Amino acid sequence: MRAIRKILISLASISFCFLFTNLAPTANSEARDIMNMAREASKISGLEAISTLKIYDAKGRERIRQTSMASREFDNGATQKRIIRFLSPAEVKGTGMLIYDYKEKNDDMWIYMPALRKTRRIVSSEKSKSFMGSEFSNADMSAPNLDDFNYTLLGSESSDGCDCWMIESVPIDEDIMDEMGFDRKITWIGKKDYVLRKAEYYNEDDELFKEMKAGKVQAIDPSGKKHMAMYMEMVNKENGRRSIMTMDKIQYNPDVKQEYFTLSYLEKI
Amino acid sequence: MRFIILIILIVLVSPKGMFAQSLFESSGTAEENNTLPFQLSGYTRGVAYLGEYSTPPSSEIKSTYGEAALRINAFSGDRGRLFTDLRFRSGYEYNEWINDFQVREAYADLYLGNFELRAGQAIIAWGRTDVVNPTNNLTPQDYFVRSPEPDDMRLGNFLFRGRYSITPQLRFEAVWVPMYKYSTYRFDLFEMPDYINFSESSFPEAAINNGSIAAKIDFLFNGFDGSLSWFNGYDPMPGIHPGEIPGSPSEEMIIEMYSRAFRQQTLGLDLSLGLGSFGVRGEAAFRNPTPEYRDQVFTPKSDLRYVLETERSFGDFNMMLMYMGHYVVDFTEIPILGGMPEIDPLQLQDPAILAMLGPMMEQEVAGFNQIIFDQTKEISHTIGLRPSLAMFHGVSKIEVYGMYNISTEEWGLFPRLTWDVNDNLKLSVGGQYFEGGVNTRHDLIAPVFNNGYFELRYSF
Repeated sequence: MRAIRKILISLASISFCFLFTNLAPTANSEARDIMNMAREASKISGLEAISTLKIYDAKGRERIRQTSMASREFDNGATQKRIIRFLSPAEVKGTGMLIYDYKEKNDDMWIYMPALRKTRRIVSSEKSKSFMGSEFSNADMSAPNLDDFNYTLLGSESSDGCDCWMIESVPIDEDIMDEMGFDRKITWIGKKDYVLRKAEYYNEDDELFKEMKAGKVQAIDPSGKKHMAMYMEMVNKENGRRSIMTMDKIQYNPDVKQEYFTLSYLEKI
Repeated sequence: MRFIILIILIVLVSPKGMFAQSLFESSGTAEENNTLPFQLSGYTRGVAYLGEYSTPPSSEIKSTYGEAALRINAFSGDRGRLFTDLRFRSGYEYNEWINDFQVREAYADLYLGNFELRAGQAIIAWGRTDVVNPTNNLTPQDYFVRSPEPDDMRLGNFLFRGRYSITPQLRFEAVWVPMYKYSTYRFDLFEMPDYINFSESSFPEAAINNGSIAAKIDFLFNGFDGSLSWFNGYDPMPGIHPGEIPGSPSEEMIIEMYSRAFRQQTLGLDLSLGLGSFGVRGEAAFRNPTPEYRDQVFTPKSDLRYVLETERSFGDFNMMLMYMGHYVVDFTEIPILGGMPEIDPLQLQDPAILAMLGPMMEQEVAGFNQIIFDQTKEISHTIGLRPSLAMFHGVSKIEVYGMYNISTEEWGLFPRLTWDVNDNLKLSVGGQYFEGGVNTRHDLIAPVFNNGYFELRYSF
């Protein structure tokens, strides 16, 4: 099925190129530029937050996880480091994740599991795995590399009252598809603030299987130029499960301690 | 020691304003709650282990107990913390009723910028591989604890640990264990002839020279991390040494057996990296007993142990493949007569047999030690496989670890199914099965450890 789809996409792409030889590269490069802007906009020199993750199964039963997070830019913005630790429930308390999100190379991700007393490197095949049993994936915890996708600007559309660009991202190969856990994604990026408002995830049968919506966008730095969604909801269309992540407390802090972003600190949790 | 603990306490209980915490630092700590200076967590669980008597074959309750764990995390902040893990277990185990209270860990941490100090009873888990960690010689193990959690085998050890982050990519760690603490190995549970009696062990005296020291450098690079380590001290796993052999036929035929510790040095390395979609972890350690202990009957030969694991996930399915090798330096094969032989007291009336008893017992014990140190072959190869599947969106997980020692033909199977009934309540069922030929470790331990278990645990 995936092979047939690829052939169809290739044929469609060839036809598209014939018809719009001059327009397509412009649209694609513009799409990439927008995604780059969105990536840059998501970078905050330093941030600390406490958030709640609510997981609902198809019957509406709720599970709650509370996390704290700190992030900071390094190497003049080329690297974003992030540490996440789980505060509750008891079964996962003390579990922590450390993420080095590089602009131009593969990310490093580690997870510390207190029950094993070990820090484990998360490899690419584990990035598509569920983030602590939620509909979010480990890959959702870091910004993907720009070069891992081909982008197409699909047009403009409003999402929740916000004028957005609609951009399609297709992983460049099957390894990236496996790593990301989807075959195609359409994202809605706010035209004014470059904040992600909505995302649709499509599987190998080109069926929508997950949908993410973000809301309650607010400025978080004193200059008012950096914005962030305080609410994110991921709905699994296949099984009716959904997960909601809300920022309970947030603190802009460019001087977040560098020592937070070390394995020592991760294991100290 | 008291002085160090006092310093740590003064720093920890200093007024909050002295060391103001950030939002991230204070989250979930005493300051965030702003009521009590400590947090409590832990669990209560009920566990049952069921096995089978070999003769006559019938079902056996190997263990059934209730256990409460209380963890106290006090004065946690950016300057340090106090941590205590208390356990109380009550029930039936190894043919007796038990009421065990254990201070598993009790230590103080002091954080001073890039330097941190830990002092107290603590558990250290070195090594990046999952199943076996040959680089970890600091933590004694209770090999006979009946618990579904592998971590429960680790025993706290009184120690001082200093860590210094030289750069974010480089960390130096040094550990001093002033007092020797040995692993628990219940030799008395094995089937032995009547004339063998396991006695109180004799271990190194509490002296500065009898402590253990270890150091490690961890490095962290893009896509790759690892460490180099060194250990110098008494091995947590002691060997067996025979006591006096009866000198005349008139003496009672009782041979005492003692656990004896030996001193060794270990050089180790480990690594972890991503190779495409595969995670790769490796560990290797060269252990070399110090000259004064070499060639003692209770001391293993120098050896090199190496482990390689690779892991890949396919959605909710994960597969881990392991290889472990073991090379024994200066290996000499000991013809093992078949465990400790039964001896008819009448045979000892024969002076020739009596004269042979000493050398024979020495050989028997040397062979027994080879078994428990996994040194019955010059080179041995073990493979392991661990498929696991997360089900129902991570609410349930099934995994089976299987291992086979190609050289000794021992094998084992360890299935486990867990179900998170809710965020606090967890149910586990599983088992462990060992099989091996005569004069193998698996053959020795199978009667004790072949069993299935059930656990219901409530965490808070």
